[in-house]
Amino acid sequence: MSGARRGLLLLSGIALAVGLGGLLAARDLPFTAARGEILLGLGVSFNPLGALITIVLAAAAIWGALVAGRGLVLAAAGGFALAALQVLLQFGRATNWLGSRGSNLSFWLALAVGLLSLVWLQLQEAKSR
Amino acid sequence: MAIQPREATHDAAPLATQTSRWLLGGVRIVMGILWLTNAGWKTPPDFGRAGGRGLFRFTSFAVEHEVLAPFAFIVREFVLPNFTLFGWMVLLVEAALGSFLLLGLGTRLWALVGAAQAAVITLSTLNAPGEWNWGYYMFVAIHLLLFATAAGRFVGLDGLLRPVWARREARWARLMMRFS
Repeated sequence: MSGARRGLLLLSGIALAVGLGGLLAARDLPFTAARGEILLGLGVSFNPLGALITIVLAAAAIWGALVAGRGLVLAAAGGFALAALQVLLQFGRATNWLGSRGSNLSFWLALAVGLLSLVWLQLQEAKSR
Repeated sequence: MAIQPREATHDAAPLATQTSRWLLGGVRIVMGILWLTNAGWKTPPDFGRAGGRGLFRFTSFAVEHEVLAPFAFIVREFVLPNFTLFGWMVLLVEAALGSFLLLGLGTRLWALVGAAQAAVITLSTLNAPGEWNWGYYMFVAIHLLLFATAAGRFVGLDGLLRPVWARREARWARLMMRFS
């Protein structure tokens, strides 16, 4: 397995684990609660919708890395970038669809940039073969 | 089986061992998580100004418990009166620090940004009551260590991407080689 694919699976796996933990932490909150539940003191915070979106995007990235190909990983990276943008628009406001805060901006940005970089690396590796 | 002379084993560069590389990567990841966690309480839109809490309170320490007179002057005259803009800058820089140190991408650049941000935090809060001075000095020093050791090359994206950047002629690729 190439380093790029290993990296994709590692990043997506971490995202999936954090999303599942977020869902567990936020299980008693309203679906789109503006104030999410912070996961294990790590700063990232989720309401059930925010956690589900993280889980779905992470699962899509894993599926893309294993089976469906780079397009799906790119779509997942785009989804994480949009989630990061949501933090900029709604964090600290009365409406916060994903129950997110500044730490989520950092986390989702890392996933978007990381997945994108690794897809680019896969493309370069394919070209050089 | 070839036997290594004792001297060769003892003189081997510390980062040549797998354990050292994993440890260094681990320190970088911990610093990334530190910034990621602390981006959480920089809350827009006023960043604590209305209630004198949060980022506004900690930034005010630079004036109330002055460390360096010119820095206190800048905070009093420029930062506090324009606090919303300043708050957004802090949130964006710290969130990006969390992201890029966690990934190990452009690590040398972000380690320097981290050292600068840690120095600014130090100048704001060093003399505030109950603060442990050495914690702030370590905060700056660890970022300088990440810079000096190019810590993204181990367990990080820099390590995966540098061989590809090295083969490219483009200016951005050469920049990334420097930043990593």
